[in-house]
Amino acid sequence: MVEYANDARLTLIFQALASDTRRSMLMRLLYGELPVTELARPLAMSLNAVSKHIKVLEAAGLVRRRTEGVYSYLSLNPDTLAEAERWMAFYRPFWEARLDALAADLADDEPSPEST
Amino acid sequence: MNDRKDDYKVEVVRQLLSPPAKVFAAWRDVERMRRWFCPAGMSVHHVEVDFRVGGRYLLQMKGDEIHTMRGEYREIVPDRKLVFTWLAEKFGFHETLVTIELTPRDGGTELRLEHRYFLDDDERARHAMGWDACLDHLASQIATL
Repeated sequence: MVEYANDARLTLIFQALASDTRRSMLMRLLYGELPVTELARPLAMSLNAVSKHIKVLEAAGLVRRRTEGVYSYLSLNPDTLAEAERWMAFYRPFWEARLDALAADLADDEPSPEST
Repeated sequence: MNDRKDDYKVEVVRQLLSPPAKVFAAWRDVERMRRWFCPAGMSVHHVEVDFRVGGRYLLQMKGDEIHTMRGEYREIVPDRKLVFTWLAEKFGFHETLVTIELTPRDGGTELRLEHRYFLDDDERARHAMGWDACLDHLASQIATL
């Protein structure tokens, strides 16, 4: 698999996810591998349109394709979403701490006695 | 707070003792930001803020290394709402979106912060419009020189 620069790869991921259809496809794949036809079934669009969505997801490295004869199966590529999870793991405590610091700074500034 | 896997956003809520105007000022005024924005063990190395819709900010924090964040203000409703993009060097300058909402509550403020990893197509389009407006403005400024 081609290794993209981090920035370009993340841009591909976000583009891939900027679509309700693609997000719903990914959600279904959370439960495990699915045949492409099964993934397409609930969607009110042509297989061609579905194919285009899948290509975007593949380009972003979010899904992997496996073929068995004439059948194609899609599964989530866990490494890519791990990047987004790494981001979340950083920013949750980051903002918790920043807002704690803001609260403390604002409290220092208030003229009335601070209640502990 | 509930960080669902498919949402990839961080949500934090705080009840603050100060009124919304003071809380808002803490996000707007560079000198106030210097006081609370740096994590422990780090200091503000450099900060620039052009506080208007379409204006940009640059923040560099120094610890063991220099961490750079930059972005653009998308929405500014004084004392109520602030929306800006957030691009951190640590994450390859991937564009994320921070939304801060202030609600007056019992003489103080409820601050709700949402930081989203993925932007919608709409938000991308608006960003493009923001830049166009910026460039148009710049062009008109140059024309009057």
